[in-house]
Amino acid sequence: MEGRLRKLLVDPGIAVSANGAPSSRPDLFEFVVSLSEKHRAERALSLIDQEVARLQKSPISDKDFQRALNQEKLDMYGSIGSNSSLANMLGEYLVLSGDYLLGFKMLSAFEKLTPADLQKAAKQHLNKKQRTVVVIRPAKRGGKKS
Amino acid sequence: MKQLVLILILSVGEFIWAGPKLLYEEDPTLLTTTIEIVVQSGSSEDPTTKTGIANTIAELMLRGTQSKDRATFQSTLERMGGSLGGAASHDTIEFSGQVIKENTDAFLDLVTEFFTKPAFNEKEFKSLMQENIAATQHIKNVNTRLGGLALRREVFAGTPLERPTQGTLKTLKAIQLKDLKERYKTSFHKGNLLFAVASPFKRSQIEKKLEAIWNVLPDGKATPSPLISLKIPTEPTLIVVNKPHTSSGSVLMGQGGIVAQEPDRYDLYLGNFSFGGEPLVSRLFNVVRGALGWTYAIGSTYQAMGSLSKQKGLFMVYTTPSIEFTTKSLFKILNMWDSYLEGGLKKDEIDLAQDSMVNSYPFGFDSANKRLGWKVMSELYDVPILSPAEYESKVRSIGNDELVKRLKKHHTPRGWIISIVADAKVIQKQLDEEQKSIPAEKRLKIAKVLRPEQIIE
Repeated sequence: MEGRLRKLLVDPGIAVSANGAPSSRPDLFEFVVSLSEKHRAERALSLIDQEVARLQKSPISDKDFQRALNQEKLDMYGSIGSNSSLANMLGEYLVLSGDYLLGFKMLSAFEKLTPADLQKAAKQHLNKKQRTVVVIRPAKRGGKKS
Repeated sequence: MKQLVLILILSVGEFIWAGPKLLYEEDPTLLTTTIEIVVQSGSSEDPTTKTGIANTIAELMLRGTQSKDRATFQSTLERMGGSLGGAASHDTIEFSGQVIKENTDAFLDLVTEFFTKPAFNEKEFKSLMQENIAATQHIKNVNTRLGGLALRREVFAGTPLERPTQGTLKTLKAIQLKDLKERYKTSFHKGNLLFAVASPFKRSQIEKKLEAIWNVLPDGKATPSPLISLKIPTEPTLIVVNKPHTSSGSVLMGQGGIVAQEPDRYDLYLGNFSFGGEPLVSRLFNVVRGALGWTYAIGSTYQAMGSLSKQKGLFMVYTTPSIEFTTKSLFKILNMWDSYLEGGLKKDEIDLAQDSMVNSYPFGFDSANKRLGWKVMSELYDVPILSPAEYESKVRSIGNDELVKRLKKHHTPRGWIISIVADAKVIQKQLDEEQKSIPAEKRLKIAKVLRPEQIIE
């Protein structure tokens, strides 16, 4: 998929994969990047910071918004294609919120969002004060970190 | 008589129909349309110096068409709520995609465009190769992949299957854009093509759209992929991929597996369920992880090379023990294998495997996409799709005597190629320690030590 992170990090050869999404821990939003050889985590982090700043500064285009909305739909429709995955989704929302239909309600709510809402959320939640950065580096021979 | 006439008419209909070969699952409750396009030509047809051609075609074809550059193609696809992926296996190049149902027509138009008018753009080719080379270098960080590739090098030495479908650093660097264009010309024809669709719409509606692809492709005869013999030793052959200072080892043990059409596959699957196939209840899990606590992941499979096909695959046992228990786990597994091969399973193990396999079988058909998957498998590899009743009758008829016979027919006690990804010095020390009571000539020895770089070069 051609998300912004991919264009920013994978296409130029800095990373082999890059994605950002809410994690299974509902209070976290995670960016995960696997770097290509000889590329530094600091460079990737700086590019992600620039991209987040861009999201906070100006709203995404209507086209990008439509893209995101339809991809959410595809994701949900695709994930309820079998009885077990449908039951899984209903059960998960029931346990988390008491409303087994919340997933569908969220999808309807997405349709009422605007690019400005996303900009506001980016400003509110994606700030450096409340983030943790974890870097895993390969050890050099002899056990020293590179 | 009426029945006979009807059958004759249907047969004539199939015979004179010259449109796309389409497997179809219609389900009005679906919210998406799924498509798979299978080109029956995979990496086993890549020249050995250029392994990766088939896979690169699959990826490059989704990076722009003759009238849409990559960014335009992707944003068109994503805005309509669609996704597309492409990858090769040893015998196929497969494209699969999904779209929200309201945009099915527009999606199929886009599929037609990329499939019949790919850009094969030079700039995109270079960028893709750069990404694929980086991804190949990244394999050095994934111990299970390194172990699997080390096994593959031995079992398929000197053949097109020696290297991974995605290619290695050398073979990727040797691939040129003209190789891809040439392969597209020779392999993308009607004889090699199979469509599979699951959709809420009528078959005729989809068929009409797919004719746009079918009509512009050249005629051609189906070319079966070459079948390659496995090189399996008579005595265990141990290869170590040296990774100093690792805290866990990755052990993979392979011997000859089966083809998709193998009549004994039900017996072997049943046996493997209780030997190592099913986590939590299998012998390997219960003993090596549960009782001894030496490892985290452990299991065994007949699908070590992906889904079964006409190419004989590998039967593999895999585990990721703590480094200090690496060779202990290996010898324990060999020991358990001997006893399984000689005695098969106990009655309660057979009962459990039968109940579980029979009761879980219908879940393999509980969605349109799963049913479509079965149809594709059946069509590609001449495998019958059994009804739950037929499957139950087959599985319930298996007894331990038959199982042991089948095990001895397909397997050997010592014909293993074993790869361990760990610190070679530590492994050597452990081997010495574990085998000190065994005469030197009978000990398991390290046949080869490889560096991770050698596996991907």
